[in-house]
Amino acid sequence: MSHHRTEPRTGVARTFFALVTIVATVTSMLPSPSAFAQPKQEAARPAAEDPERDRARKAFVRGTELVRDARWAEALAAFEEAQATLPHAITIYNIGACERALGRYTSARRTLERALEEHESKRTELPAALVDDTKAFLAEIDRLLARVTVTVAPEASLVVDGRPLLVSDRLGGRSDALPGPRLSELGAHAVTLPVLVAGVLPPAEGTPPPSKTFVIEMDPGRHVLSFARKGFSDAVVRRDFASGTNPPLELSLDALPATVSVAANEKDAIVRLDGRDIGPVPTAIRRPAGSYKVRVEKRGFVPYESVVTLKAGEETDLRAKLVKREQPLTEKWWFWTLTSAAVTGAAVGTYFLARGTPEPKRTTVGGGSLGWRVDIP
Amino acid sequence: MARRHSLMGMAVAWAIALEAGCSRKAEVIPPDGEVLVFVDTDVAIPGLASRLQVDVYDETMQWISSRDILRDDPATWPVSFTIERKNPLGLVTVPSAAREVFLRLRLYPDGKTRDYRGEKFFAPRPDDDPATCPLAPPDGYADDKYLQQRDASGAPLAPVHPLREPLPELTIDRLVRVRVEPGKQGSIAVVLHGACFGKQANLFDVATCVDDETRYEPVVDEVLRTSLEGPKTSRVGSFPSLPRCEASLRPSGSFDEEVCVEGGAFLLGDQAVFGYGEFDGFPEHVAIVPPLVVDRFEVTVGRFRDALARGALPGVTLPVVNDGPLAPSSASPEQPGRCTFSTSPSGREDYPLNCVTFETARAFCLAEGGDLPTEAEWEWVAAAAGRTYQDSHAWGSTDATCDTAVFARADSPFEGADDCVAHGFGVQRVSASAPGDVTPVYGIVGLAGNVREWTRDSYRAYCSHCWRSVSLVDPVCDDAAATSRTVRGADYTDPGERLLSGLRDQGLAPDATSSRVGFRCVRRGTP
Repeated sequence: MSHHRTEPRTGVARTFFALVTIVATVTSMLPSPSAFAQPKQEAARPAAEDPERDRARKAFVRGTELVRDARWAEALAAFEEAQATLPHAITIYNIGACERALGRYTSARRTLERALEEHESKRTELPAALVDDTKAFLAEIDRLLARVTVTVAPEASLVVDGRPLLVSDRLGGRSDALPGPRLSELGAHAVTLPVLVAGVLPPAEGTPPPSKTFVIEMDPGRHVLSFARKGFSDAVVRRDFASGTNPPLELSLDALPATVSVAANEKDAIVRLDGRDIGPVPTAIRRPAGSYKVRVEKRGFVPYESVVTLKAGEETDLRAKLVKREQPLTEKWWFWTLTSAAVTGAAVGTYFLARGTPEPKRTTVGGGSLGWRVDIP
Repeated sequence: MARRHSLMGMAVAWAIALEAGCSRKAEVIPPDGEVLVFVDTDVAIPGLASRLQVDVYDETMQWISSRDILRDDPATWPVSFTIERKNPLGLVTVPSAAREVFLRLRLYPDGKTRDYRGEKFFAPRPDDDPATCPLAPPDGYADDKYLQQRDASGAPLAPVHPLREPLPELTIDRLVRVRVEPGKQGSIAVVLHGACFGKQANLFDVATCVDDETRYEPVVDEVLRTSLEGPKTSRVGSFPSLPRCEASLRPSGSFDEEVCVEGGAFLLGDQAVFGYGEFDGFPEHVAIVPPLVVDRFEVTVGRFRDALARGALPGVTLPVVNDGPLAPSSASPEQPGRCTFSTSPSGREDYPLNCVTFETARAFCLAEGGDLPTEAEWEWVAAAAGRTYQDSHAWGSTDATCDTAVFARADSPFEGADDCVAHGFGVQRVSASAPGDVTPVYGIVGLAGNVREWTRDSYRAYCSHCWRSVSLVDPVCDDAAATSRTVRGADYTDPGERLLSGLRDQGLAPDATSSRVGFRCVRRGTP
């Protein structure tokens, strides 16, 4: 089990080169340029047996046979098994070629780039012909990918076909600037859009894109783009995307209303929201997000007032505690003494005032047995 | 002492002030426009309704205000409130323009609400299939503008609406229009009539049910009365106006006794009846059952044999004959060994007659001067008649027990179906139901268990057009295209939790028979 990390690299290389001494192109199976690295059968005879290597080799051989029958998905699984045990640039290349044959262009591109990186790192190498094929594939995939510029407000997490997107180290222009230069090749002040690649990460929760506007790279075909943000209604786009640049998408998510439920310790107390009569407690009101002044009132009680700030989609409970008004003044010991003095003064005042024009009177019906007055504006 | 002196001082001071001040009269200016609205109803409070939802709209149907009020004490009716048009300039006597407002008054039972959908009345269409349930109103009817508010410039504000709204089937829904004129005070009195239960107000065409369930009337301005006095007495409880049950009962022999049951209004259906079979117990709706005479027991083998002997049933299909003993156990309740009828009396004359077709059962009842009960009649007797509040079970609202009702007496593989076998296997004598499967007040036996009972109705969902187009009084869903008739109640093979009065889990083809289905008859309760 302790083979590839601790053994000298030459040991790994020797095994593989024993396995893959010739790279035969299977051009009949793949559109040009296409190549599958496959072992020369008679060379596939390793010496001292490490069971891990043996399994990797067998998986690799199985993969090449499956490729011959154009059974790409199974071949892909076989190569992935080989790669998991014994990594090699050629195996990575074969994985990428299978993905490309399956139409998984975004994955294929990422895999083929990894094959080139592996080759450039010199840990394991690709034959020169495969390096050329890899580059040709990458150019071809760049032409085939579907690209769309998306603007979404407010920022929302995004999944395409149930998978989050990989933030690429490329930068895309708003139109057809792709394939763009790599991030590392640009100066610090270059302003282009981030590129998000669909179809390469496993299914998971969505992640928010790095900016409001971005480019999505996808395999051509039908995709489901789902945008979600807490407190907002989801936006879902189901559409066919063609190779090349697609018309830009502009989406806006609607804020969900907030709900505030108001209860009180007293029956028949009336709730007012920003002065508007909402009705007796308990009640629940749906409103757009924002701050509201809630007042709960009942005759004989001190009104309860509060400002609630509602976030979109939020549900808030409010329980108003109403307390009885203070003990009536008439029961205070000092009331009658003070009142008698005040009334005498007021009486004199009244006399003089009443000699002028009396205040006009207006009769009123009042709120009926429900004590409810509907004011028509 | 101090207090007495102070009071005396006050009185003297006021007397002087008033004497001088009141010699000039205050000017009386026209009042604000005020309409005092009295709302009364004729339905039983709180039996049929106890909540009043009031929505106020302006003349363009923009929402102004709402109230949902619990008034479950009949003594608090009629209720009243005021609509006011304040003079914006206060005391300055510049009249402001008159306004018209719409009031939507909805009276419904407490707790009978659903999530707010905002859909409005839509009329049934003539080509509706009686079997289907309408899923959505036609285009254009689902319009939220009725709860839309606008700002001063007329731009729409965010929609504001309650989270819940009354169930339309259980609501009296009345639309009225009132003119509020500055300077004028007056009152209107609106009565919410039980005849309008289930008739959703038509805000689209501005029409409403007033007091006749068959008519929608255009909404016109209510005439403003100058009096501010409300109705002296409330009309609560005067609906429905039904005669007393006064039919003369036939002399009773063996288990053929009749009971005269008073009529009344009740909520047909039960939200708790859910998921038991093809159709559930909702949407509930109000039904009125006139007085009726009901068989105290299910029709027995002996009673049917007597009718045959009298020649009262010419040409009927006989029930399935079982000349052997009742099967002590079986894999299927549908084998003849479970049937009670025999060619000649064999000790089962006081068993309920089962394995009988709908056609034969109905022929028997017609020959007896009555008919099979409708579903509404059956449920009225099993859940509501003679009670203040509707019950879940025929005997009340407690669970069934093995020694008081006949159920779970089978060797069926269903969970709980053999729980009571120790009390006797299979169908039992009608008297075996008597300890507990008896309705209060009227003492009607065996509605819940032993055998199910044929009813006259086609087996259709309550949401179907067939049920939506029945009348309030004596409703019956009779659809010629239906392939089965409803059987009500539960039977000896059912587990205890099915013995619900609202259960309507099965229908049976009119020419089919089952050992689990018998019947009883009803007839009119008025001469």
